[in-house]
Amino acid sequence: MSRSQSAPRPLLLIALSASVLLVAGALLPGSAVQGGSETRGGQTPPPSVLLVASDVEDVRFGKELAGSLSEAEGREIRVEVLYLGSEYSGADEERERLSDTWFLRGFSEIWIPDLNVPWTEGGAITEEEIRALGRVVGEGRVLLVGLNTYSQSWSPPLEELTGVELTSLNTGTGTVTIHEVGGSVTASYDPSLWWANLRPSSNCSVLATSEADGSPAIVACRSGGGAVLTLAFNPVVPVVESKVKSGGILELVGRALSAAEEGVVPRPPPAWDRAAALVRSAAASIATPRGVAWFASLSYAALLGATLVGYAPYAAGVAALMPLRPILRKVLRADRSSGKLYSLILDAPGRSLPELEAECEGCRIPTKVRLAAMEACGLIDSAVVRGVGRLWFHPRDRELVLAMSLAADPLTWRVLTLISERPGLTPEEIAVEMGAPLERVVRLVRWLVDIGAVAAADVGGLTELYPSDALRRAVGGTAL
Amino acid sequence: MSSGGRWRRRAVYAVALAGSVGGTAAHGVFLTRAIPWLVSLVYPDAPPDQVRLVVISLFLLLGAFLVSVYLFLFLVWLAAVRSRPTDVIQDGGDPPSLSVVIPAYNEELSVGLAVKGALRQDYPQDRLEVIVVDDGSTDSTAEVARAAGARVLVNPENRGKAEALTLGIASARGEVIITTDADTVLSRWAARAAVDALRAEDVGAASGDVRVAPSIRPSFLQRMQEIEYAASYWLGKTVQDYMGWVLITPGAMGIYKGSLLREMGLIPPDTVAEDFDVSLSTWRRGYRVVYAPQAVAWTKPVRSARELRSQRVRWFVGGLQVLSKYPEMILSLRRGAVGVALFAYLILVEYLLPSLGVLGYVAVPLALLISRLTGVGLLLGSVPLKVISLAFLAFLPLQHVPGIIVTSTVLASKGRADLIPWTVPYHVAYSLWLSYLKLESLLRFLSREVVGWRP
Repeated sequence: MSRSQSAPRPLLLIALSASVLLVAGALLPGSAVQGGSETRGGQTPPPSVLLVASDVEDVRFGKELAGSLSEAEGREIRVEVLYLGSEYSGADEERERLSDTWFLRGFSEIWIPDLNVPWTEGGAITEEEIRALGRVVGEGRVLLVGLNTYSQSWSPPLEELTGVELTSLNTGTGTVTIHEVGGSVTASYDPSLWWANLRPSSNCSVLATSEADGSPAIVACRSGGGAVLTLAFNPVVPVVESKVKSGGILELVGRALSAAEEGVVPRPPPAWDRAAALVRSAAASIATPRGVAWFASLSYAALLGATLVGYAPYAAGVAALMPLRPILRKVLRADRSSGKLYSLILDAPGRSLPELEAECEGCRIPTKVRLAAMEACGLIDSAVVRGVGRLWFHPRDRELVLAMSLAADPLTWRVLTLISERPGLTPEEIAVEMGAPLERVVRLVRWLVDIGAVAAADVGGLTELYPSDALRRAVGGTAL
Repeated sequence: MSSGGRWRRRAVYAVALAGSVGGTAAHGVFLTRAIPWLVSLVYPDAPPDQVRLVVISLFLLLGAFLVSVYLFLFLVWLAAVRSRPTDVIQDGGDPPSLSVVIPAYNEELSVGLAVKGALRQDYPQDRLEVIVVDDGSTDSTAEVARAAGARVLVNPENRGKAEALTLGIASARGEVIITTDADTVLSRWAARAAVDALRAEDVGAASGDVRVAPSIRPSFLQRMQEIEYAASYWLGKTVQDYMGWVLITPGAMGIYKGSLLREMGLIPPDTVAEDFDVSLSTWRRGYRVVYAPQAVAWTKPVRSARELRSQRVRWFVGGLQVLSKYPEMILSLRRGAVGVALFAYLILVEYLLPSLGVLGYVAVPLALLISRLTGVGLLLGSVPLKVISLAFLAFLPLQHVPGIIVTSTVLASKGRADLIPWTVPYHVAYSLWLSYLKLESLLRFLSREVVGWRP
């Protein structure tokens, strides 16, 4: 008899569980994988900007720049603020998100116009954050870095990310005029707000220069599939403070951003990163009451599906069908093949699956599924018999089948005889009596206890064995 | 041993040594790849180079020696298992007379079965005697033993196991003497296997194969002991036998030539590890000690952690007492492999390195924490504490992968695949606890604390 048909399929189960977990994680609301700038349903989402701010002026600047861009390009731009100012109680939590690549991937542009260390204690950009920014920019995003952000967070990794070298920082009086390279836009800037002398690397292009000495004012550098815009000037103060207000800055920066966006080539995150995010997201989503409910429902649906096509382990299938008993009873009543199976089992208890399959001619649904449904409804019963496999029988015949299976093995019969003759024997005593290896005796007795033929009692550290009532009834008047 | 055999063994040791070093290095590389990857799943921006540095430090301090020991033992075990000529017990000539000596103190519940097991041997009954030495029991141990068929000697007061054994051995008439415990049951073929193990002239003693008696519903502690005994006998003793330096004949199944024990006169009462003491005395007298894998004895597992701790501390302290009793044997060139094994295997592998490992488990996280909090030790100063902690947590189970594979293979080879899932907690937690007990025993021994038989 083949046992494989009723045996569990571990690989299939693992694959099924993993799929359910991942599908649940991916489908559940709040899944991190749902974020990001990936297109859904073939539609390109509106550009979304993460504005990293450390004071309210930064926020105002970001809003005005987004408004200016929306107006110029006629499209909606969504701005989300990551506020790192030290006066904000949630700044620490916000800060952690600056190094969370899956959070950053939710935006097509990241603006850090004026992350100010001395005045707002917004903190310098750490190496971890630079790495995260570099990774997401490389995947096709635009990063805007203002003068203070760059100069106060300067570090070799940041220099490498921006692609420009900071040669000096100057301050002055009067007005600097900034010209768009190859364009007509100009802006005036108060050099008392500081000016950085930048030296671009070879993969960069200068988008605006200072009229006075031609030094780069806005530099765009390719970084993987994305771009980094570095500003040699402070873009925030001229825009938000009336006393130093300068004209044209918003338009100039806006045009630079548009130019940088043109060369962006979206690249998917590495496969392992996506897999890790999927797992993390699934785990995070499932660890909620709603998630548990979703996961349980999906698992049940998957198990039910596997049961109906005959791929679930038999016992799991019976459990899965239990809640459907009212429907199943009606279906079984109308199903002639099930009726035939039931008659077969009544006539000859203790039949195996191949035997039943052979006799159930014309059964379209797998016999195993029918049997599981019948067992779920309490019409039949089954048991795994040592060395034989699963046998099906009417519940009233359980003890008969048990006796048949016990009698099939001489060693089992000898052990049962000893236990019946001298109740209270221990496995060690049986091993000594029979001269059999203790491990073998214990394995056998463990199985006998599991199927209910023998009862074990722990008495002062010794395991005493007694014949169960079921065994007594099963063997009736036999020699046992 | 023939010179061909000697060279073959040397080749095995060389291959095992090379394999052990290579395998340890390979496992180190695996850890330095796997753990940074695992860490990156949780902390994607954790600096991989720094995490790798953490892993390398942990591996060198804590895991490398364990891995190399397990791999070396495993490779020699493979050779030993292949070279074992037969598992059939030789059955030639008249069997010698055999005495089974069982010291017992308040063992009325188990001594009956122990006696029955010793009597129901596949061995001529007229050449077999079972002696129970009732060591001043206050219960009915003597009556139960007598009823079961043993000759019973009674010590009027409890004098300890060594003296009980001395009394029993003095009264034993067998050419071969098996010493066992009252909570241990001999397998039906143990007597034949024991006699068979002592056939060679130069073999004075043998270690039986002690197994934890399996039960219907084994507890966690019992499963751990089952694996511990399996690793100790099926792997450790097999390798020791192949290499020619079985160091300990266990108290639960010690097999001796009667003439040797009578020559010794009495079992030394000055240590709490008389079995180890007798084994070393056997070696000192120029006899070999071997392993008899078919002389199976099932011993009752210790049921509570408190009792187990007490038993293990007694064993470990006893071992140190014996080692300090025979310092001239350690690294003695005259003793050959035994002298080296006493140092390399017992002192280094069994005592010092596990004890240092335990200190490492405390010291490494503490050092990292202090380094992180104080900023001292800039090596890992930039790695967030949470990242280091995760790397450490991942390292704990992963460092044991080779040990788990080796133990699982040995268990499977003996038909105990059911214990394989339990090898994980065994290596990750239980063996660490044993290492802690070794450290504790070492400290107790150094402070000359008296360790007795009662918990």
